[in-house]
Amino acid sequence: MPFPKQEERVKCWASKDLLWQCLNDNNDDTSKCTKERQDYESSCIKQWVKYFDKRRGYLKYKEKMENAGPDPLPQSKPSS
Amino acid sequence: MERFPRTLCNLNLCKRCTCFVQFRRSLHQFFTERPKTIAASSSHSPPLPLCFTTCFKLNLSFNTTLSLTGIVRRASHVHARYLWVHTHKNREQIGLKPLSQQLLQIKLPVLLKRLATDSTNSKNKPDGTVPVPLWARLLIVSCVGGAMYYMFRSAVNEKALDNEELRYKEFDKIQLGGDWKLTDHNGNQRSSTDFRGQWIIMYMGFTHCPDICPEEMEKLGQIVKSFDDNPKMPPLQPLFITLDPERDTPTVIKDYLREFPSPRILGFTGTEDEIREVAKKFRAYFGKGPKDEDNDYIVDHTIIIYLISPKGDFVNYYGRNRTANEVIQSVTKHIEKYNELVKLEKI
Repeated sequence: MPFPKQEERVKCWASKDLLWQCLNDNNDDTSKCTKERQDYESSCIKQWVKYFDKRRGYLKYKEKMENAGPDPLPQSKPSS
Repeated sequence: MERFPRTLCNLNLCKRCTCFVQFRRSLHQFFTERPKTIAASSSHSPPLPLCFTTCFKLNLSFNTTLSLTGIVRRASHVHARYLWVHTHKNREQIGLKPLSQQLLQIKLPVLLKRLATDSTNSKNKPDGTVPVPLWARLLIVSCVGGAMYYMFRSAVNEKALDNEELRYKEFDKIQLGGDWKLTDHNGNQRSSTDFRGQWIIMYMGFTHCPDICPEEMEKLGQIVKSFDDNPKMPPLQPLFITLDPERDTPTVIKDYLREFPSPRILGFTGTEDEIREVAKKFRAYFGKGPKDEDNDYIVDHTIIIYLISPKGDFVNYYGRNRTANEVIQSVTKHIEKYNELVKLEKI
């Protein structure tokens, strides 16, 4: 399978940006961004879709860690 | 005989200004500490202290109006008068007061004030000012300042050069970088030694790379272009080495590189082992991700742009967080220092 060409890359990145923007605006409600999701999946190769999905999760996580810090550790039950 | 300490009269040290300051000090001492002695021996003129005359002689040549006393205006006159008086053993015979008395008549504060007065500037300055004209002071300060600044700069530069030299030695010790043989995007076997004499800027990546590699490759293009546009700097040779030899054949790389602004980027591929060897030499990590149903995969790898000297030595590396401009500045500095070191035959 050949590598995505520049125009494909640009198209994929643009659709990815649209989807991310939509998700940001709708508080990550995927049901409201189904059209963007379809466009995105049709413009990017599968591997990239997976990669960008993971990357978004990672960026979100990073942002949360930077702003809010880690979740408090679950209270461990006192061992009797 | 009244003598001033000889050390004060050391002619070698007795530069114009210092002499004058010393002279003022000695005069002050002379009149405050020894008035009685002088007064006691006032019947005949005592020989003026050696330093007194020495300083006068020095000042004479500059012909500075000292306004030393109310009687004489020029230092030369004091000297002349002294010499003249000295030859006449008995001053009273010629109707003059003994010299020491004459000098003692001058009130010290007035004298000091006059001494501090510059001939070119009739206004009185506060006591303790050295009578050097303003332009001369500015000249001296700027000369000294300039010299110190120059020394400081050259010391800083020398230190920076030493650091750069150390850098080459240390990288040599840990054997970072090194020579390799790979296939270029035209299918030719090339070795890194083919690029001796050229500054190399190198990036390792893969063509299926989703976002980072294209960004880095564009950065590489910008850096190369900036050096191409700068006539004072040598051009850089950009190289791209794939970390995905399985998919990235010479033709694929050739296609890929066509998309980037610099036409001079040379792409390289090789066997899995060859690539592993090169990556190891440059301490670059790469690992294939799991394949999906399309047999597609992502290669996770170190994102680094390397700078290699015309002698093939590793010089520096730039991570993803460095902007093109930062890299350009750093590379420029390395090239300048490298040229200096080569001139000094240190590398």
